[in-house]
Amino acid sequence: MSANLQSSLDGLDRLLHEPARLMIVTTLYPLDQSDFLYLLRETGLTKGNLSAHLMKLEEAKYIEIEKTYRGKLPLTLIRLTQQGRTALTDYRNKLKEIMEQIPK
Amino acid sequence: MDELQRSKKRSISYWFEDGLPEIGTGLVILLIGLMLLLVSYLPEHSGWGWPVAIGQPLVIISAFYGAGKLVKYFKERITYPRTGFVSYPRRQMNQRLKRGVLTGMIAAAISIGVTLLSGVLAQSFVPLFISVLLGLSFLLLAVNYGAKRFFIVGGIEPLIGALLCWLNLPDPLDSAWLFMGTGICMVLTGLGGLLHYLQTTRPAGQEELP
Repeated sequence: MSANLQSSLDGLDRLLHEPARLMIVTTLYPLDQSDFLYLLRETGLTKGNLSAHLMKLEEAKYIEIEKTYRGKLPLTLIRLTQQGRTALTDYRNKLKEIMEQIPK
Repeated sequence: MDELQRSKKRSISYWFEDGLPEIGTGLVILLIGLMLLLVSYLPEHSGWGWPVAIGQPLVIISAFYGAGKLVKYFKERITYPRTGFVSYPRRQMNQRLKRGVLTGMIAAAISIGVTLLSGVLAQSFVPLFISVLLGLSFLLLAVNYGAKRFFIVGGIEPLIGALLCWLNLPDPLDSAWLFMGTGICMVLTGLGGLLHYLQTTRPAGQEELP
């Protein structure tokens, strides 16, 4: 493996490299915000799994979570932060870079 | 296709998933057609010219505003409890301005084109020409936003134009029927979409709430 490729691989954001989290962030990217139910349906993850991944993304400040109510039902609103958007763009660029280095 | 582009398309097509926006827009277009129909029955020099000229844009703007509110009301009660809520980023002022100017320019170009064409073509071909343009716009929406039902409206649109061309109705009766036909078509495809949506989804249970 070339040193260049090794360094590109090392530079990949490990938090986003996890498929479920990448799916969450990619789903949120074109939106202003979505609720928990939309993400649950779109990603196909279980409720517990989604919550766990959301917590990790929130800890990294990639997303913001707002807990509120719609009528009497709890409503969790999720929004991708600017930091999260930048991280996804960087991740995509890095991945492209890596793919270009892999011989066909 | 880039996964981000696919995700963007998917999130935009989600807006059309329940058929409600089509029903709302279709009702407004139907109203425009009905207004033109009313105008076509007004006797010439009846004194209604000015009130109609001023009133029409006001009614259309209010109708679009009201339809937007109505769509939001029904989405909150039907769609969000079933498949979730999303909101889209608001465009910045200069982006909205650019889009407004572009839309205005396209509308003006079409209007000039129709006026020029009406001098060359027989009046009966004008609705056909407009319907083809409308049909192409719907097909563009279908491709760009992944709203598949717009393929149906886009396909039917030239047929409405062809029928009106064959009927050879006087102006503005031909435009009135073109708008009414388009509006009815959108309301029907929207209702079909809504029915399908209601059959294939159910309100989220406790296990799906956070």
